[in-house]
Amino acid sequence: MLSYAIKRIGLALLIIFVVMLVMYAMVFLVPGDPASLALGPRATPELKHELMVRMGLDQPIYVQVWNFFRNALTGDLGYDVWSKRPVSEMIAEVFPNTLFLGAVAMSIALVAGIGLGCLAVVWQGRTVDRVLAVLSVSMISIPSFVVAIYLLLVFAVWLGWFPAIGAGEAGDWGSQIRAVVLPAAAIAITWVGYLARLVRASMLEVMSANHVRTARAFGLTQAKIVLRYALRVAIVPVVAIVAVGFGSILSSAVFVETVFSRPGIGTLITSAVQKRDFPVVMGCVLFMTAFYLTVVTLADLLMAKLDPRVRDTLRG
Amino acid sequence: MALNWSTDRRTLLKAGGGLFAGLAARPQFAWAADGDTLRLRATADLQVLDPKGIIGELDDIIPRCTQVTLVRLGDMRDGNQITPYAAKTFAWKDPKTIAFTLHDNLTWNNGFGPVTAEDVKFSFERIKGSDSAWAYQFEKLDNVEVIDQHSGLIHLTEPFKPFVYISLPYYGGHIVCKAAVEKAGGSYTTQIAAECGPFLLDKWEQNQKVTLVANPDWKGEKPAFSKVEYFIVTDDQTALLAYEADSFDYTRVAMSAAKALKANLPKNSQLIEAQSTRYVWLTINMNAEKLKDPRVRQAIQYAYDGDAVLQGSYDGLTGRSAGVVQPGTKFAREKNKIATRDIEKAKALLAEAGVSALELNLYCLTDSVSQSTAQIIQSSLAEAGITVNIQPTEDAAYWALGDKTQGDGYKNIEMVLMNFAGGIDPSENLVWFRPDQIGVYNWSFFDSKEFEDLYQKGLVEQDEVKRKDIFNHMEDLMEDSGGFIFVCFEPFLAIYRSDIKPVILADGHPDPTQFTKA
Repeated sequence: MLSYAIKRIGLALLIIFVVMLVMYAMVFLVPGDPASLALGPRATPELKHELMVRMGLDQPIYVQVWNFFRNALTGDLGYDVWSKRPVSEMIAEVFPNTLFLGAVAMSIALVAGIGLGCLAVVWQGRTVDRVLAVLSVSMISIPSFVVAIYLLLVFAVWLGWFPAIGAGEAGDWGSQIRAVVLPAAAIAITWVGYLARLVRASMLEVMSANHVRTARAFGLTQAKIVLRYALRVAIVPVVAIVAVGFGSILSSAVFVETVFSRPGIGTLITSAVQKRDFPVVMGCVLFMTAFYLTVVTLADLLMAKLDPRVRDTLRG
Repeated sequence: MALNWSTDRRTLLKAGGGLFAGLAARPQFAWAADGDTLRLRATADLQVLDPKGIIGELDDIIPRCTQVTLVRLGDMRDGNQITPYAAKTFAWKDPKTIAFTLHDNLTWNNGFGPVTAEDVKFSFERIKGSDSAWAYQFEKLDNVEVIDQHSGLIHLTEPFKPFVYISLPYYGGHIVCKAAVEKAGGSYTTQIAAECGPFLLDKWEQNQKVTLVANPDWKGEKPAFSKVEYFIVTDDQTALLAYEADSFDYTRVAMSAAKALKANLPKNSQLIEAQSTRYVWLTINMNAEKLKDPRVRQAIQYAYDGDAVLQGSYDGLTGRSAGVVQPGTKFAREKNKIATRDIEKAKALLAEAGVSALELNLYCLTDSVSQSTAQIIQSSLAEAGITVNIQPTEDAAYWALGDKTQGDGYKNIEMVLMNFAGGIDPSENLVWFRPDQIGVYNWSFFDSKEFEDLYQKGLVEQDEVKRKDIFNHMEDLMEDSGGFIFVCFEPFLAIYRSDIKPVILADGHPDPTQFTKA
């Protein structure tokens, strides 16, 4: 188990390193200098040079990479070139919004996805099952930012039930919850479809198991069999993909936060890219990569602890 | 197998009734503001609030609220009228000297005392000759002489009438508190050192919202709203939806939305349709091998279908421009020399130049308006036998095309569709086509000594009729060179609630301090 854990953590660190190298390469591969782009047509050469220095882009690439990793290890992700605020402070300010959005989206996905999966099993082979199959595949294939626009149109513009933009007023939980509903639903919808299909498949397998047959023989209602005996077993594969799903949900947040003008790590990255604020882009990407890998690695380790067959996969 | 759920008619009716009542109630959770709050939309977050380093939209708007300028501009739709603002008196003493006296009731917050002539001197002189992007506005400033606490003289190096328009009403013209800025280390970014304007910056919620509240110590004309909220919404489509959901009272809208809005304007709303100061033109690089012969460049000018571009890309919302000076203003050139399309003439010029099967690259940005304009140019030039290959180019690569610091590529680019945000004075728009701008922003390789001489003359000329002649002749030279096709000045579109009256400045930014209730 220890060697498996070391291998997983090593792999995670390697991925972080490669991601950051690719990010640096992209800065240099894009034609044009970032300072001219950020400052616009009226900037003097002196100002452009000063900005390049502030971004650390006047140094050779290996020095930049080295400095970045050395500082990152001590928690220093650099400074926003415009406001001169520490990037780590900026991330700490907005990340709870993204985390809250991700958690609500995941909750919606789990409740709705499992619910629909159960309904499909209960009415297996009937019209409801077929309708749910089409609905699930549709939900999987529609990009979240398209869903976001339609949710906005229907629930914010036409019905006026939810705010169109923002994250609600600070300290007012009611307004924050109302503000998270539409963006969370937009992100969750893909996962609702996916989980519904997964639960259905897993549940059908379980429904033919001996303990379910026994329960049926005892005359229990279908609802009780599904909810109390079958779902408990069928849900295991769902739990396994929640960690991966959470990472995917966070990446969808980048688009959805922009559409709903919600402060969060996605908006921070988008705005930093627009302003060519490379320290913020690098810091956010490093943070998100590390966060995602931490969640996935912990989930992998947990699975390996529970199921020895998983440990064997890395051993080859 | 069906779930063993049971219900009766009564329960069903109860549930249905509850659902209907819920739908009918339609609670309006969207952020309805009270009548004293002005809610506006910004396209991007603030970056630098120090007038020396202003970059984006909010960087310009917030200092308009928190600082003062000696004079200020009125609405662009009313001809950008200049009126004294922080200055109680403001007058030209001679062609090189402006005398001003500040209102004596302007005070800095945070205990920094009154706004003084010394602050004006500090504010302007720190930008002149500095590394600020706005230093060019103060090129003609010699110094500011302080007479007493509230009076001073602005001395220019030579007569320069546009100084009042170019330098004083915005950007570097915002007055900062000398003591506070020095205490902050000589400059600041997002924490304003000291404020004295009608509003104070109350709260900045990064990438979400900026809130300004009325300054209790402001003794000048009281703004119509006691609170201004700026919501940061980058996407135009979302912004329009958010406007319809009553999230704000004013927003700029994309050109593509104009038709739909005109056909179906949201309730209690007005649409602003005006001409912006952003000018669009086609650069034809006379240094490129295939374009060295002036007859070839002129053939392109004749083959260009201006009407099709205006209809196809701009929905007929704007007219053809005859230069880079805004049409309809006192310095504008009346018309282009090649004002009508002549395909036969274009073909004849190509034949005379001995050119056949001409194939050219046309670079443009990736936005939909640029793309459709490029496609119309492609098809109109095809009629003259010129094949145009459109090269849609992302921002970063685009701005490197004509930049000499990025290698020798700038010498060979052939055609580029360009647009710049312009200023009020013609000199602000003509400056980019001077010889020293080749390899910077003059991508046509337009190298005219006569143009440069006229530019310098135009800066110091005091007589407006003579200035017009100078600027018009400069645009003649540009057109004659074959290096330019003037496309248009982009339309400005915005939507607002009928119960407010917005004031839009020449740069397209709203001025919340001048908004009123209708």
